[in-house]
Amino acid sequence: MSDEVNKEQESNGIERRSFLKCMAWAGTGLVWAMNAGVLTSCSLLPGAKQKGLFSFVQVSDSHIGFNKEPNQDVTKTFQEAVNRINALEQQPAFLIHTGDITHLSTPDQFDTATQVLKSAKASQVYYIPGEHDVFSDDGKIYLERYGKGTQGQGWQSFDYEGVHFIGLINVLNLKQGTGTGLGGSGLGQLGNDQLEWLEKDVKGLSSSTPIVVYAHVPLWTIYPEWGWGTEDSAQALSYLKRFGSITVLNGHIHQILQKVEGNVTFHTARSTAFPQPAPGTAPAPGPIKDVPADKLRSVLGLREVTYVSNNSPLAIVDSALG
Amino acid sequence: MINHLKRKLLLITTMSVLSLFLTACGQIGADSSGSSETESTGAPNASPNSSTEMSKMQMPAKPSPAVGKNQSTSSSPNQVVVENFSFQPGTLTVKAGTSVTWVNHDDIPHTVNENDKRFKSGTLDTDGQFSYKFTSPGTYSYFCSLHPRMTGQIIVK
Repeated sequence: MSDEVNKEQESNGIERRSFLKCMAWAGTGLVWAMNAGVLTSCSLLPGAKQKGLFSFVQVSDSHIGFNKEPNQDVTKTFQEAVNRINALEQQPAFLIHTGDITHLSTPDQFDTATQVLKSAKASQVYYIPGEHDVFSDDGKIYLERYGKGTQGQGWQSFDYEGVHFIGLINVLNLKQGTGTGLGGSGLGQLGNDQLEWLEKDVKGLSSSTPIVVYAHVPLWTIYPEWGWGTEDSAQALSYLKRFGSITVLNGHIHQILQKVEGNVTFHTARSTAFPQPAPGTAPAPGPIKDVPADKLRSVLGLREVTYVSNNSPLAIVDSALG
Repeated sequence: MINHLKRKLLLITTMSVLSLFLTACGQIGADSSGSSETESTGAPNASPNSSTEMSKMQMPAKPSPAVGKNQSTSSSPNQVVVENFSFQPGTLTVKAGTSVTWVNHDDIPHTVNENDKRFKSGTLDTDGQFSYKFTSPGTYSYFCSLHPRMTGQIIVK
């Protein structure tokens, strides 16, 4: 199988047969292997370990403290996600948690999340908050715990194997808004300070640097009626448009959606706690409650992202928990 | 083969994006017809049996056909129910000196934050309540800091 993977990478493409194999391996998960909007590679087959390759895992919306239908034990499903990560043949270089770590941003909920993540083999975890992590105290507890080494109100960037990672925060100081007339949009927002920082942060980078941006609320407008978008995301993306490959990873909506726009691919991730309805398919975006217990894990999940240097394919695999 | 697959994938992506838009458009229509702001005029000390004023106050409790599932389960005066990510009634009019109570009937936490920070509830988890006494006349607009599309107002006469 690994021969086949090498062959794919030589041609920087994929053949239907390999693609189907890859689908089969991921089981109930979805496989995307995209580079700038084009299917390029599927390099996550077991045994695909090779030089210049690394992967990282995105987990999202663990909502520690939520205890209602359809999931009365979100700590357990979060732990199962970590167990799955630990069982990956190729261990991720690090984890990224894209927010809503907790449900009510209480210290004990943060403690529980920390405890679960301590069992991850990957010791490095990067965090950005969701609105549930900051709403009760404007992010005070969150920043005390996760703010070390970050900029401003917790935003951050780092480089790994030639890839530039940027963690943005779009859940602080949300202003009321109906999207019409007076008032704001009611969407996520980055704010001027963070936008200025972002512009400076990427200024010195070569345009060939692959960029991975992660933030909680989607950085593209999915469904404004439910607040599923970020008011000033276009401004942020304008600073990134010169780069050849931009991958945006979001959480918040507890389901997988994707969009390709030029060199930017947008992805939202599943939650490890509970699913939410597809945009506009329910009166409100609350949890989908009527998920049978034996189906719950098929709608929860995690995401593995693999990067291979030289030809820059970024392979994204979303795996369900069961 | 490769080009064929690429084309196919792009087509699939385009189609899913398109269907997303279609869903969104459909919902916009449904939402605007379904949005209802029920104004409730109430004297704080109105007895439950009293007259026309009371029937107005009970309006938000009656599920309007346009609202569908969005039923309010409370008919208490001077109470705002948080349900299905909305404040019901969206506008409540009270006399100065009245305490208004918000109660959260959703499975998701919400908050009540006055736009000019004159009051804020903190976390209201399921069945959580928050009361605020309005002493000065005026219009108090508020929203949920977790879901800022959720807005409401209290008019104090």
